[in-house]
Amino acid sequence: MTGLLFRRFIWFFPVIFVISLITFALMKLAPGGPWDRDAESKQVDPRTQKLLDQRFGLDRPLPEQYLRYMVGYPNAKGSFECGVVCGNLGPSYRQRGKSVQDIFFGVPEGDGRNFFHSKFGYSLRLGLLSLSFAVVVGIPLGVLSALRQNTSVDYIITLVTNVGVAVPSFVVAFFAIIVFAVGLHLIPVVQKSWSGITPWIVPAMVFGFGTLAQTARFTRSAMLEVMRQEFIRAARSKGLRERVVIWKHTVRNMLIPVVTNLGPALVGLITGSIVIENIFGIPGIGRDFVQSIGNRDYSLIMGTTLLYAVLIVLGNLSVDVLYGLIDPRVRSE
Amino acid sequence: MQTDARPLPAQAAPAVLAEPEGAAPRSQWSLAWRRFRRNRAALVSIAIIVMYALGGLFAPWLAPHNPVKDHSGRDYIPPFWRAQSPAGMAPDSTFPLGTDSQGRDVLSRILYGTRSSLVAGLMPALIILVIGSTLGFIAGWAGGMTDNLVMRTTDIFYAFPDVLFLILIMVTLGSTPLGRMANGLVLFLSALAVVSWTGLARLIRGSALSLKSLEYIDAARGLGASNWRIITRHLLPNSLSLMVVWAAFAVPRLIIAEAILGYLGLGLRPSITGKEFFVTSWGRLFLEAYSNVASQPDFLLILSLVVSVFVISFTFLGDGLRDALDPRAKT
Repeated sequence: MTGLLFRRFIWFFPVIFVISLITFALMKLAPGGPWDRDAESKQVDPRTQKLLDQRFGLDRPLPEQYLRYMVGYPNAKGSFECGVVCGNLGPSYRQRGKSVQDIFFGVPEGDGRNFFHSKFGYSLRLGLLSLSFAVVVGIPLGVLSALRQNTSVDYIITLVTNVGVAVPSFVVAFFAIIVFAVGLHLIPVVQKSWSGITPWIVPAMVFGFGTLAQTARFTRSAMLEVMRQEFIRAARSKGLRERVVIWKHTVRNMLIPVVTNLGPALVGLITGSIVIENIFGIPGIGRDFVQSIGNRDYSLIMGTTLLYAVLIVLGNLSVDVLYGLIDPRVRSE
Repeated sequence: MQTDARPLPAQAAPAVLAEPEGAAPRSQWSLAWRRFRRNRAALVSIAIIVMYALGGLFAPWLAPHNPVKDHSGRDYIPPFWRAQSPAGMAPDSTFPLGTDSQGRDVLSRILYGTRSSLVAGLMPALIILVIGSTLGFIAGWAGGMTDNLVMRTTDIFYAFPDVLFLILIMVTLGSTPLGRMANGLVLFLSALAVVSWTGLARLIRGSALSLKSLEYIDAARGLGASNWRIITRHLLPNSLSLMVVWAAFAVPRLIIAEAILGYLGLGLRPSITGKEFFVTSWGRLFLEAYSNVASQPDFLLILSLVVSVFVISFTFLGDGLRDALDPRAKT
């Protein structure tokens, strides 16, 4: 078990290396640079541009630029400025005086502001709320559907979850806006404040709907699978009450695959929220990313890609770890 | 896997028994077709998808108006079932689904949008089928180093946030000559193919690995069949059902990817003259409809319905195909 986890963890580094290399190459292939708004109209005069290039090291050969970004370089004061390997994502080219990690994780000034008010915090909040909604509603729906297999309850739940899996979240978001914002005037089309829980209800339900449907389907098939097992028949035949058979023997075993899948689900919700953040105007990383791509803020683009890639790899790793923790059969192998 | 012998379902039994001995053997595909025909949801889905395809194909003949012509002074006309739009316009029978913010006919625009969105879903699916299954077969059949190389590559792509990667490619290469070809379609198709080939490659590799150890493959090899012959005559036909099911689930995903990029303003470039093939796409329409949602909510509603019905149909079709082609698979 430990050996497997170690191998999976070691694999993390080449993955991040290749992803950073591809992203870097793509950004350098692109015409134009961070100092001009678009390729046609340069807004910075050539001398300033040269100075800026020099300051950010953009005049150096490409392999050196890549090394400086990833590993680090000696700065003007003579000390060593550590790069991505130390978690330093570099200065933003557009938002002067701010580093990329400040933009992601920096807490804005103000009373009672905490980590959840950073850009990453907003994306994390949306992800956590959507996931909670999906789990709290999805698992019971799946259990109910399996217990009432081939009845009208099962058919209705299956139909709803089929639709939920098929229809993408941004189309669901448009339906929600038409119904709740334009039709019933319950919420504004664009929220002004994101404090408290109320403004998050509709976005979290919309964004969590797909995951809810998947969780319910997954739960249903896991339930049916466990219900067919010998030990359930044994539990029934030794006279256990139906309630004990279902909740203590079936549901607890069924939950193993469902719970281990929560890590990747949360990561998927955080990295997949680009469009949802845009539609609802949530000031998270995804909305910022779309705004920054047009600006060619290289370090911010690179930082977002690396952050998301790290999250995805960690999310996948969490499946193995959780499985080992929950299921003793895996640990002994 | 269940090993206990279960009695045949009562309805199926007579049909099986009624088959006369020595009757012509049925192919896998005709058996699958028989199972598929019984699935009413899948049949309805096929009919709906064919309707969309015909609508897209014959858009120039079906569209009542030029999709890019601005009818000045006739903007924000509501669809026929509304008495009045929020902008105060009355419905007009020449514009059955109304007009948009620039007075362009919504029905015509949706028909043309369907045309490009279908192409944006089907073409990358075909490209990925060729690339993904070739790599999958090579990895599964050759094994060893080759297998390792291909599979580690899929691991890397698996960790790449795919929407982000698509956005990155479209933004960085969008204004290069490659990005300008065919209204951006060439770049868009390649980007989608690069992002989505890994899932299919893994699937096909798994299939090739399990088929490789079967006895009839050993027999073929023993009789002196070449690698090429075994792959094309034995592995390919046996993995074809996997590919078909994969495609049924992939096409809506690819169309949604186009819609997401289009909504972010990064997809295909809209044609201004209406003479190019790509007049507009669902993604582009979402962007336009959402920015005018307050004055014309029905446009966004119609569009969301059109797209939802399409992706739901594809899901039911995919389920039907999977059940028909692989009766052992649990649903």
